[in-house]
Amino acid sequence: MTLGKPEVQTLTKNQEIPVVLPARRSWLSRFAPLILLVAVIAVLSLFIPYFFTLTNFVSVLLQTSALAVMAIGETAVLVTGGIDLSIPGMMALGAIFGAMYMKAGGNPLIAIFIMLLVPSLLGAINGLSVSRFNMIPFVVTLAMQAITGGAAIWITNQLSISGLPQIFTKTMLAKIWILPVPVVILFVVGAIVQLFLTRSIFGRWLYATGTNIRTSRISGIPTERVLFFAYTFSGLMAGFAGVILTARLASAGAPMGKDSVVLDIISSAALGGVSIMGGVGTALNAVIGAIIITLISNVMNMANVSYYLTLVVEGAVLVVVVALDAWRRRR
Amino acid sequence: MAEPFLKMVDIKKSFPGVQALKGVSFEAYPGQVLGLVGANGAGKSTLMNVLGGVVHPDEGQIVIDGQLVMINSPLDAARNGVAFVHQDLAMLPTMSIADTMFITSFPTKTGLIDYKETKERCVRALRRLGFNFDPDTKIRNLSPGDQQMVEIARALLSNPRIIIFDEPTSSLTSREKERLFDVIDNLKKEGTVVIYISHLLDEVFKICDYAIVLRNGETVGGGPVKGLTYDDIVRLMIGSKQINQYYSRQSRQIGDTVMQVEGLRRKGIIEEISFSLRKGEVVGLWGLLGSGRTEVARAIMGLDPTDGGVIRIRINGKMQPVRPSDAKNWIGMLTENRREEGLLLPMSVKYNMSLANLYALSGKRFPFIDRKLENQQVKKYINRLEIKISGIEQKVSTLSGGNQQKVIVGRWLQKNPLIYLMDEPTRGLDVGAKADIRNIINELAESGAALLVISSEIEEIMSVSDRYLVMNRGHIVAELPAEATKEELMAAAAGVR
Repeated sequence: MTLGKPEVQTLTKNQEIPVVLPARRSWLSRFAPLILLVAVIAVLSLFIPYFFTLTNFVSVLLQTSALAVMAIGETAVLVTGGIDLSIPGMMALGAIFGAMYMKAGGNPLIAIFIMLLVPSLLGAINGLSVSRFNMIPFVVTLAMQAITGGAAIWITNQLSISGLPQIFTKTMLAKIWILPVPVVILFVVGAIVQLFLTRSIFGRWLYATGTNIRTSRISGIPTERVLFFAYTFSGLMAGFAGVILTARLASAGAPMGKDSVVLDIISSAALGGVSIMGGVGTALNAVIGAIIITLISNVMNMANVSYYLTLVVEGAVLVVVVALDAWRRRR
Repeated sequence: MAEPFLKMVDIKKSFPGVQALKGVSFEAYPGQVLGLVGANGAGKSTLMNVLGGVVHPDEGQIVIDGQLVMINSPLDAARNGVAFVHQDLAMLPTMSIADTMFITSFPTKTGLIDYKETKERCVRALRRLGFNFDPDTKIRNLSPGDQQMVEIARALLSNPRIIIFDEPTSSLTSREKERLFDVIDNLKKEGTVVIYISHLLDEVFKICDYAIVLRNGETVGGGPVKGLTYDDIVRLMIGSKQINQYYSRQSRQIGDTVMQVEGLRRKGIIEEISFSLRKGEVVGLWGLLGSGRTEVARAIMGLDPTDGGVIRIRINGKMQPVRPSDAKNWIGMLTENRREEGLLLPMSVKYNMSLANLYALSGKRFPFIDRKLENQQVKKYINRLEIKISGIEQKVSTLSGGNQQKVIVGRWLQKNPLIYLMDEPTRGLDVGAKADIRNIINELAESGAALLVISSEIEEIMSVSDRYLVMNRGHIVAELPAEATKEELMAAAAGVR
């Protein structure tokens, strides 16, 4: 839209410029996830031998990469005030299609493209349902998770698709300097998304929409497009996670998309200070949240704690974090 | 009519910053319909909320049937035989008539709801009003008029001796209105005290026996309706001292038409709204509460659905039809509820001010925002509007109402649209901030913008308008020139022909 816009000059009242002090933005709440991560690392370093080593850090990052990428996608949706419960299912279905294509002799590059495209399209369906048809995100994405999760099992007949071309797994797990490719993907994606969220017009729209959609609409923000994009982007991130996981497992199968992965994703975002109520949170902090979640489950694993107890702990952490968010908003 | 059944004596109530009631007294007799008349903000609703137990008065006495009573809650009001039919229907659309009517008073049998009894009572209560609805009908399948009847039937369940109707006809068709008047007539015959709040004078003359007029929280007059004329009441409503007060202002250079609205309508809300706005002109859209003035603005902006009509806006020198959903691109809007629809409350002044203008702030850095340019622009408009803040990162929720409103104005000034819609731009602001906003409106018009200003304060709309459109019941009923007097405006809005 272009308007011939002469400046409104009549309002000029050149007064002294008010002192512009940086407002008391609570740096504590901004850096809380990072502080928490440092604290967790400090504690673990004291108790676990060889924890505080570069090799271990790289291996934790590699472990975290898929979850962190999904948490980035979830962040975009949470910031708009919505929620995406279908990330694992979309990821699994995309990965399965890509793996089937490779197994049938297809080009691994095209297979990767399929792994990215399928979840993006599924995410676009979520986006359309929410933005265009005013459907409730919770229900739409819950249904999408059921559909994709079910389809994944049905298509694979509960079998993993393994025996993928070596060139795919080798390349995807190769190291650039000391960093495996998935970690590089995480860094690059995280940096780009962080930049867009905090510095771009679109990022500003995303936060505005999540903070108050009515104000945003009146101010001329294309809120429908913003919502559509957020869900589609979440699908794309599911796709990246699918590529990473398929390479790490050297196979693709329905268990990748099991429902409990949603808990990991949302816990990561919440621990990273992304508000479940919209308008607050960054990609970087979601990644930090994912690292903390991975560390917690690693420790529980090492201590031979039952997987189910791990779920209990993770659920409790999520409740505490969301309670803190609600408390912060009430003040 | 020897003894008054209800006496309210010297009722006072102040809210922060405003004394809503300054010692109002009146009496009401059984078998009589008392009309309570006054402009918006005169204190009618506050007075009745005191009687209904919703608002606790600072001073004053309420005497019912010779007894001094304390009414501290709606429950107390009900115990004393006071029933309230609210303007906004408090309905449960997905529930049945019977459920809605008995939601707080279900008859029970061994702890469970006795549905047989409920339905029987429901049917009886409706028959009393001359209706024969199936008690299982869902509320949402009833017309607004029928819903109103259910509301009245609910109010009558407790056999009240005093019943208050607050603007009961605002959503009714003329046939439904006749039916309501019949019901009121019956209540009157049964000896109930009926208090009828309205600002529509023809209704008051039609059904009330006695009228009292409130202005600025005081009773300014009243008497048997037979002895009053329309002019008497209008004069009382606006205060005779201020009649013909003219607001001097510089004459403006009014140019070509920039927006034209034709036949805009939304069924049951606004009908056949047609008008145009010219460059450099401030048009006051005046009407009483519920006349549809806000709805017109919302329909133009595509915030509410419409059932028809064309909006044309001058784009690149030509009048072109614009869909309401696109109108936002050319129109800056100040909504009446600034916290809900105007601001991003948890965000900074900066973010709030640059919200509508981000494309222009990206400069050469598209798709990113040029932060230097953004800070510069925001500071520039903060200075122009003299917004008092500690810094541009300050949260907008911590500002005063006046400064918040200026932030929204600043948002639009940056974008600099051709057309502004301002709905209650000074609501809730202090006197100084009100004057600032009025100055901004004048300056915008002088710089060539076209403005449609809505206000429920007649003085305010008179201080800025070059022309008035007067609304009543969803229609534009009159177009008046800048020279129109307060009396003329009030009379047109109250539906006096």
